[in-house]
Amino acid sequence: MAKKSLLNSVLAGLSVVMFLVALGMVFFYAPREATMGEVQRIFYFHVATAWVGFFGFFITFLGGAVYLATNNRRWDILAFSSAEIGLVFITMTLVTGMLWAKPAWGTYWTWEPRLTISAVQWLLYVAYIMLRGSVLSPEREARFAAVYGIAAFVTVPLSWFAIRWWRTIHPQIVSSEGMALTAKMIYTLLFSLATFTLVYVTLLRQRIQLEKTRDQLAALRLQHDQAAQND
Amino acid sequence: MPIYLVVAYIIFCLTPVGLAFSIAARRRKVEREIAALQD
Repeated sequence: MAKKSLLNSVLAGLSVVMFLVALGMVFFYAPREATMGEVQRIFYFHVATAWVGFFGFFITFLGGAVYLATNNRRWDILAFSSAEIGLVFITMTLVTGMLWAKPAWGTYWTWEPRLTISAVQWLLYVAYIMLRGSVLSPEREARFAAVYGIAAFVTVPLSWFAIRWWRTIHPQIVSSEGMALTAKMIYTLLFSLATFTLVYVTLLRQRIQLEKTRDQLAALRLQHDQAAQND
Repeated sequence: MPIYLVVAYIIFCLTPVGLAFSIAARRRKVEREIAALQD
């Protein structure tokens, strides 16, 4: 327990330090982009939050698939915890994308393929979180959520390929011609990706522990109810 | 510095911190309920 707590503190501390360094790189190391100017700096954390959102949904997909195969509650906890964090990060991506779109495209929102898929994806995972608070029995809820989490994951590759398959105004940073970024921009982006991945891991561990504590509470309540019935 | 950039980075900084506090607060609440049941 003390070991776990120490690891959590180390991860949290490292996350804060890396976050501050990433912020420094975004504002003082990465060069000013020629076309969009200062507002292009939104790009680094915008992409990093999108990455964490997609990765979080992948872990939900994976956790759901393994749960269906093994019926082990720990995989369900992993899937649920990851979906909540993924949803928060995808919400950040959507909101900051809108803030970037206004000066870049002249509008906060347009119904082009990437943005439309992102909106559908957001709604699907909001529904997933709402489903987890449903009145179904815990086992049925977990099985249903696992199937739902696997099906909802289709929006991740769809979102990735949307800017490659269809005409869209959303920029494409990685294409067959490579990356349209300078070396300093690439380093800043990679460091931001690493930072947000660490933040995800830190939050995921905390969220998993919360769910395990809830399980302890549910077991205790059951014991109390049974004891009360026997009296 | 453009206002959109400032607002975006305020969101980037505060949201993960807010989520961390939210998780910690929910856990403390559950732990209090456990403690109350065990008393």
